[in-house]
Amino acid sequence: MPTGQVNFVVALRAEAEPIIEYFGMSPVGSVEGFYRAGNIQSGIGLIFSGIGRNNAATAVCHQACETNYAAWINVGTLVHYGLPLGEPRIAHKVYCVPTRRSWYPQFVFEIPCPTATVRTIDRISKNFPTDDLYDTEASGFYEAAAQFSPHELIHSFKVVHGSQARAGEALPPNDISSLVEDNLKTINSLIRPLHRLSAELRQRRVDPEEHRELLHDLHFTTTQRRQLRRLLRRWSINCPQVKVTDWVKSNGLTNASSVITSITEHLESIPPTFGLKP
Amino acid sequence: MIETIYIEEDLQVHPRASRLLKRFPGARIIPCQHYTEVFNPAAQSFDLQKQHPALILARKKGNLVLPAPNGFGISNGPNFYFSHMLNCLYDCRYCFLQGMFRSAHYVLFVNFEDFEAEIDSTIANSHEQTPYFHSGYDCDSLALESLTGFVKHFVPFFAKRPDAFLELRTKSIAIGNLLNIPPVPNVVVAFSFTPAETAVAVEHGCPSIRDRVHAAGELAGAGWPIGIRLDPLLWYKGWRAGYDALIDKIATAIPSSALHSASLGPLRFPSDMFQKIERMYPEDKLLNGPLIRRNRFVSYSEPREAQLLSFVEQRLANAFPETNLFPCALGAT
Repeated sequence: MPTGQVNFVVALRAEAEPIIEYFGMSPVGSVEGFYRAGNIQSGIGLIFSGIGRNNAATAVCHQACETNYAAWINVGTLVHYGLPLGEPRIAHKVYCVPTRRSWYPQFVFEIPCPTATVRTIDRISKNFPTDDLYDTEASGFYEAAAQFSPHELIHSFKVVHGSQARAGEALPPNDISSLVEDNLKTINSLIRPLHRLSAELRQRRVDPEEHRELLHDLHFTTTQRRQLRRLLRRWSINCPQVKVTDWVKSNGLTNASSVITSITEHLESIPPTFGLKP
Repeated sequence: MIETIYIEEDLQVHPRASRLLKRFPGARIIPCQHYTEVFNPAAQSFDLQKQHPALILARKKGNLVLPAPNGFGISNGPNFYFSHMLNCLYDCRYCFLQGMFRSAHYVLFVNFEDFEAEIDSTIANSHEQTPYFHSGYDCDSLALESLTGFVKHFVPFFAKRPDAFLELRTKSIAIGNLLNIPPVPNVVVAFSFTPAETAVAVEHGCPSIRDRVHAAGELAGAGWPIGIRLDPLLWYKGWRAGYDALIDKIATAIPSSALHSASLGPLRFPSDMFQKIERMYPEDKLLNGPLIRRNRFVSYSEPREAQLLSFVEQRLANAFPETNLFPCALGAT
């Protein structure tokens, strides 16, 4: 089974550092100035986006080029009117204030901390009109990630770093790192189910081994390759006891169209065996 | 267990919605402007959501009652359907809902009274023909009864309208609310069945065939008109014996006099829906069976389908000689 892939998108270096260390990531090489790190064995990547929704969206696009069916987590710190320092929240709604668009991250597994609405604004001000969380990246991140992965695999995880009174003031990097560090266990428990879901989606795209073997031996057109992929999948489900490549050889099939026709006819004659072993 | 409830903002004071929210004190409640913001936007994954569906409380506006698709009807008169809910508790691999919606969340339309008004106006426009209303097209009519209270609300409504029929189509055995009230002659409880071995393999999360037959028998005994729906008919090794056993079981539990109607239909998927479903469940045995493209549908070959239909139709006619039998042809969805 292929491993899943989880990508972090973070705006500040101070937010990224504890994550990089905790998940044993090493530098992967930057793209267009976006610093990236990863742990290939664990299927975890990180891209450092810088501040702002446009930067977050661009970072997602760069990272997405190398991974399909990845899960995405935007980790960041933000200010909130009433929540205590260090409180984690996962977005259940991401609202982009400048564009008035909304997204609803989907919870298909147990969520390790409370959820909230995250409103993305272009510039952090000193006054917030609602009791929601305010950041500068989530909507750009979410909109871009939804181009590459289903909503169920995209989440925004935020840690409160101060109250409204401190809005606009920069927190020392060490303090920001500590806040993220204190929440790494929660982040980790979010990663496990996301990894599983990403792996599940990737598994569906894996071609049977025999597909490669047959393509190596015979010439198939693009349409025939697609037909073959489907037939081999049907074969593995309906006749798992017979290796299709052996069957092709023993029937003396030497060109692509006879392989397609013969396998189709053979499968057509086999009724499914519900409740019985094939 | 419902952990997340989305609710349209203007429904927060709706009495039916408020009652439901109180039943799930631990759920996260997320307001939205319109249910379609959450339900069915692009890039959602039906099968991943099916692992953990949320509840969406919404108000249905417009098109509350629609003509039933060809082949869904059970009379020669006008057939209509209305959906107080979208999506189903169960996860049947042949169900078109998995290809029709991108979301697996349960959408409950709480404005029952608006449905009633439109049903009344449809009855009024039926020109002395008896209209049939089907409630189990986009959902199972009974499966989430404890949540929706649909039966409790709509069965008494139809009891007062003897010139119209309501069909409750279901695989559920949640029949308590029906057994608690006297039978209503114009409300048909229609159970869907496939043979026991296919039910186990492709009707995920559904009550067993034995339990469904038992529930149908109990309702029949209480005087409720019963429908038998063998739709879709499935072709597999031993299908003749499977359908023989199923029909025997049904005939033992349900007396002919209690049977309102029986209907049967072939396995069929609109081609584009089949593609979507196949992408979600590439290893499913039913979807990897001997299915072919015919017109705009994916189904069994014509001879195979004819064989299934004629065999099962004959067996049903033998078991229930007096019943109204409605076969359904390819093209119905």
